[in-house]
Amino acid sequence: MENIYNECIRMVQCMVNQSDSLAERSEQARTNPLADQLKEVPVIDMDVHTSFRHEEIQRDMLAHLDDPYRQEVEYYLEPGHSSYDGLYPTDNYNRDLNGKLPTELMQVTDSKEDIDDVLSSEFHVDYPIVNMLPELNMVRQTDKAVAFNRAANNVLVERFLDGHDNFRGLASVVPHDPSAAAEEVDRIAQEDQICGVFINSSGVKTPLGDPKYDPIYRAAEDNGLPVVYHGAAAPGLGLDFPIIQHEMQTYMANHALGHVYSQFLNLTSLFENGTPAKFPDVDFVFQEAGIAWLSLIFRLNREYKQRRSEVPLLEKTPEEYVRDQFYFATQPLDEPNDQRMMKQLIEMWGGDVLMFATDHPHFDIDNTEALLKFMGDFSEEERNKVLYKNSAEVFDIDVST
Amino acid sequence: MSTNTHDLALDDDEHVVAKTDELAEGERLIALLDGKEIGVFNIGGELYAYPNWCAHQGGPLCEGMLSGTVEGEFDRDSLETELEWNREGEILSCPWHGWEFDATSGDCLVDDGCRLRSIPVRDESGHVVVTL
Ligand code: FES
Repeated sequence: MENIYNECIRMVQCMVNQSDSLAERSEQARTNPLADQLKEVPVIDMDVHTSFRHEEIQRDMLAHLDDPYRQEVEYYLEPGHSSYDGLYPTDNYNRDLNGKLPTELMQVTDSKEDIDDVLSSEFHVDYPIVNMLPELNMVRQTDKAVAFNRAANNVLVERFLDGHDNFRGLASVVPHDPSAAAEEVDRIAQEDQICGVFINSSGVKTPLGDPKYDPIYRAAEDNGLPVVYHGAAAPGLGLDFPIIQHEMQTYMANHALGHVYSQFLNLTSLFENGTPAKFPDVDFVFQEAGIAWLSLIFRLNREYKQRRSEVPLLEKTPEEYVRDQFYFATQPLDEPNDQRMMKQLIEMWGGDVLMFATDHPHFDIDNTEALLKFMGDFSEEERNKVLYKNSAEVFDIDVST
Repeated sequence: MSTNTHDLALDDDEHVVAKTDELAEGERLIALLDGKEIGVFNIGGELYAYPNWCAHQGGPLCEGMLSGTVEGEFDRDSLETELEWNREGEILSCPWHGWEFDATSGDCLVDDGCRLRSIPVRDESGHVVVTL
């Protein structure tokens, strides 16, 4: 920011030097009759600003704030920490908890060092499926969102997948222009290591089962790719659920609700529009909302049975579609106080629909061992389905190599 | 012309519930037979009978609305969905939670495991006869 200002000042000085000197300019001004009139008038300007968010001013603020707010400002002023939006009810609203809980456990820019080495040693992961998470749903300008998204997919392939045979990637699409998104799916699907289509669930405005998105689903089906919905307390959540970001008090509430709300919305939208019936070869995968929210499926069963004529494309109950065509990442593992209940939850959906995920490098991360702890008395087959077989099938990964 | 009820030779488990001309097309009646409520329907000139009991939660199914339903067809090339109102007068909706049943076959449209038990019913000499 400061650099841009310095640049502006330099340019203005340049322009001044090119024309008259300052002394000559003020001479001219004095000959202006209007300026003459104003000389005698005590003018009051009643709207002048400071650069409140300038670092120097924020540093002055520190002396006048008590903890924890003083620490909060101090934390966000350090380079490399999330941007200082801590005062406002956006996604960034003190995410890092004054540094107690940094959003990112590390910066991920390198496949080997930041992904492969970390995940294989810490979490026993052999095949990471990487997404760029570009969070472009709220970009207002359609061609810009499409261009950035395409660029992000290219970076995913070139920087993270090329030369890393055990890596796979999910190619992002933005919701702005579904035909353009379908074209992007056709384009990027040519890359061997692209194994799915990735959409951020928040900020899509029109929920993702709407028929206007059907070109995306058709393209996914034509290319044999699953569609992955990423739950997030991300930009756009405040648009989808304004009360969360404008009336709830804490990031705790924001984060607790954001992921499940956006997944509730989009999963329900898929059923009200019959999307899984329209595209029977598409697999639908939901990430980052845990699995306890799947009680929604039972509610959808009931609604379907009560109001089938509103959703005539559905040929069976939502649960039957879910067990055939839907998958859910286990992360973040829900935490019932009685651990046996977690085991029951996993059992309820089990090998049919669950897929292990870490969420590396975010603060929601799950350890593979933490999941395994709940599956001790499951059959080996059931455990393996969750640990890799479901993913291997849906993302078409040959794990024998 | 119908015969009188006592002229019919009926078994113990056979019951006259109406004269046939009292049950016009599209009409239904609920009869109480051996302590059981039975819904009897005339749909397109055919007679059908079912217990007035819904397998979902025991609602009075046969008192529900008899109408049509929406069927849909999706065209993958045009991505258009066409909706049609079909089967007018054949779809019975339970008044408690709206589960739809095909009143001509007993099939449940929302739950395969929930088929209605058809009760034999016939027109005999101008009388509607139900066999329990
Ligand atoms: S009791 Fe008939 S639909 Fe629930």
